[in-house]
Amino acid sequence: MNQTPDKIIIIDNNESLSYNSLFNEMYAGLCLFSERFLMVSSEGEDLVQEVFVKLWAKFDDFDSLNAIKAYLYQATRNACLNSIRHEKVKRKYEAEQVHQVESETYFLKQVVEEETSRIIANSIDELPPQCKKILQLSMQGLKNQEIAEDLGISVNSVKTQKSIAYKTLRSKLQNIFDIVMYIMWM
Amino acid sequence: MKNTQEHIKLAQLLAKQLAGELSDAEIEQLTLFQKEEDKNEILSSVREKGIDFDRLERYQTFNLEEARKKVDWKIQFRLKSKKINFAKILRYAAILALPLALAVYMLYLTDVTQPDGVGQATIEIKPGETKAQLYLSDGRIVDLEKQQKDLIRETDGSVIEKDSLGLNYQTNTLDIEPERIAENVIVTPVGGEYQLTLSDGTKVWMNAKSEIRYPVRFIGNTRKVKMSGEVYFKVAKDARKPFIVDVNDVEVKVLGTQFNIMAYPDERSIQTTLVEGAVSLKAKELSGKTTSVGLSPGRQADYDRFSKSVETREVDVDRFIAWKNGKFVFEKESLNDIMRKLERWYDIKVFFQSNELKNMRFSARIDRYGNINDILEKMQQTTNINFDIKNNIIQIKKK
Repeated sequence: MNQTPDKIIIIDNNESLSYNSLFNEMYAGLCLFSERFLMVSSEGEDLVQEVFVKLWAKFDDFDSLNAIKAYLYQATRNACLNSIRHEKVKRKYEAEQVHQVESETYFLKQVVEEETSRIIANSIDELPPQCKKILQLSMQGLKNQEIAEDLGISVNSVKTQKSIAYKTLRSKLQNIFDIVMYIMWM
Repeated sequence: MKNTQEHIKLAQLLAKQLAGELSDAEIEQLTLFQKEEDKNEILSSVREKGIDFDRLERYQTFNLEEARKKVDWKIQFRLKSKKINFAKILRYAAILALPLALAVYMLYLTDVTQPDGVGQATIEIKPGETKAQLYLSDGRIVDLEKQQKDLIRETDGSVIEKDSLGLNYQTNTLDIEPERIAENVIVTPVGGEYQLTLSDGTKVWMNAKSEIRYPVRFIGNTRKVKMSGEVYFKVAKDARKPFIVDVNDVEVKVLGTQFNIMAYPDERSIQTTLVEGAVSLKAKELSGKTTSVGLSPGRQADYDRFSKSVETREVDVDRFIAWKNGKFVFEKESLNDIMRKLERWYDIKVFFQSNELKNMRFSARIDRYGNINDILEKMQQTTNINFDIKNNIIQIKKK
């Protein structure tokens, strides 16, 4: 079977968004997100794939990236809850635990956690290896001195690398922020 | 939705803050969010927890290409069901286009000297055989031919058994979650037929150029399948779970019985013929209302697609289910109707020299697996018509 041609829509600031690029950006994050709801994590990928199948039909209806993301998170969560509800019936899961997972607060908190770490993961991944390592250590709370010892380089070198990392990261994150601003001031 | 979007914005600010520093405007935004109690709570709890760096590594562990391919299969699978309807429209269009094509063909043929008699074919016309394609819920397509035994695994975990007789869905003992029950489609091509046993034990015989869509397992209060083309059902008895066949505009409901439905898009009517038991049939009328009729054994409901009306009548059942028993039985049937059936089974194209020929009537009882020449020769001997065969194209002319 031939691959279905990509779909491209215009969103937010007259920017184009392709289905394929959105898939690549969000797929892993949504799979990890699904694990926050599922008792059996292995089925997360199936559920997320199903969510993307549904998105294909709806894709043209969206005009903002964050609306699509919100849809993806919600659809994934709904699919997970459906799945655990059946498990609950079958295996008599602790009702309390399920109840907590079903709450709106839990959902929103997971969205924030997932979206934050997804953005960081995606941005960090594009950094040069040394920068990446230093940034990871720094985010874990290590001081420049400790990082320098850890990697066997000078403190100055850590500082330089860190500033490159932050600069690169900021410019990457800027794109995201532009969208945020646009939506907020609209 | 709105709330979710706001939390996504919140996460974007937070990510930026964690990865570097925020500009004044950004800080202002974040402060605004922090003034909302619930958002502030989430924000501080996420900050407190920090970023899980072991988890960050996992983002790179997914096989995006593989996953994208799977999604693509599913999309195409869903699109396929829509395409089938499109194909129906095309077929209707083809009916309209046929007179034109015929005219052109005739013009072309008149210039060519025709050798007489049957048997001029250079490609042998073969009868249909066991042949179909199975569309699994993840978009996999399995070619079903009679030879080897096989087990096919569906995405929901169920196992489909394939042997020389066909497919069997009865072997499943797995407890599948209702929401994840897979739907399968079997399509027989022109010159194909196929047999299967559904999960409830219902036996299904598919004639050529037909399609049936059914769940791997029946859940809920009904057993529902969709079909087009011609299918014979021997429904396993289950008084609590009616078996419903959905054919565009017509719905046939039974509890446990045997019947045949002929619903080819290029036939004017949908015919439901009852062999034993009882069925009730609902059909959509022109007014949009639904009308119901009951059938007793030996009776047939004929739904006219154009006038959208149902008539029931007493019929010779054997004639309508002959195909399932390996026969063609024609009783004073028009040559036009006969040739349409032969076209589906022998994969041939038939052209008539005149409309008058189409309305000639024949009675015949022939073996479906036999050579088409036998049938044609018989007809040729007893009448003044001539079949001219070129490869798989048959032209019917007056002698």
